[in-house]
Amino acid sequence: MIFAIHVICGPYSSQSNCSALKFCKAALEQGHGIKRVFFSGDGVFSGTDLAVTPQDEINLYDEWSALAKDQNVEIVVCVSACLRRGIINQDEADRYEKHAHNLAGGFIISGLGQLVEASVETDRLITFGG
Amino acid sequence: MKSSLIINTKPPHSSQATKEAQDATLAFAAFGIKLGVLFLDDGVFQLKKNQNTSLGQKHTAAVFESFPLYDITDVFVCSDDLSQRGMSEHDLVIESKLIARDQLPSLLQQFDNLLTF
Repeated sequence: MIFAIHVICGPYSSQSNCSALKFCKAALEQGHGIKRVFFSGDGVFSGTDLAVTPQDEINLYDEWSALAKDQNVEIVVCVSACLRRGIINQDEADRYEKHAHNLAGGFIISGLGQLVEASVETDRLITFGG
Repeated sequence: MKSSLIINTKPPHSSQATKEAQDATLAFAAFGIKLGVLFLDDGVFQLKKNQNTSLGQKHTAAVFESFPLYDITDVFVCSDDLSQRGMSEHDLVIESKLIARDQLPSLLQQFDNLLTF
């Protein structure tokens, strides 16, 4: 089965962010596909490259990046949610004349059309954090 | 084409949920997806008339009022949640279909995708 995952809660502020990650891993292990993980709302905080977590706890930021790099899962953050919350890549930093950018590797900034497309082209869309 | 139901459960102004659900709703509509919008729990407050926020945020009623322009006409409001909060359909900023809580399961089954905000 091919899944689309929609994450609207931030890492550590809600269990749902971690649940979404674990769901993705479990689905892949069992031979299912994840077409795309779309982060909106506070979910886009998953894409910061600047967070530091205690060494003896799960690092959700690195885990999401690893999902993209190691398992080839597309992880997309909603551009309007990102801009409002200060999660930006090099292009957006240039466009809005910001002095730094902080989007972690593996993440892609894109629009809500990516959520619409994923919802249409997959067998199941699952929202975490609603 | 798959259909989607956007489910709004959060009150307005206390978070970005209203605004971000509206953005998603308009995006789905712009792509021609068959769409329904449901207001549940404290989400029914999102539709209340005469909101006057001084929080420096854009008023959300104008977007709800534009729903018919996007052919979004299937707007559902849970009647039990509305009356529990001392409101009626006359308090709502757009024309909505009232639906009792025990009718919700059959409504949800009519849609392929459910997106909760």
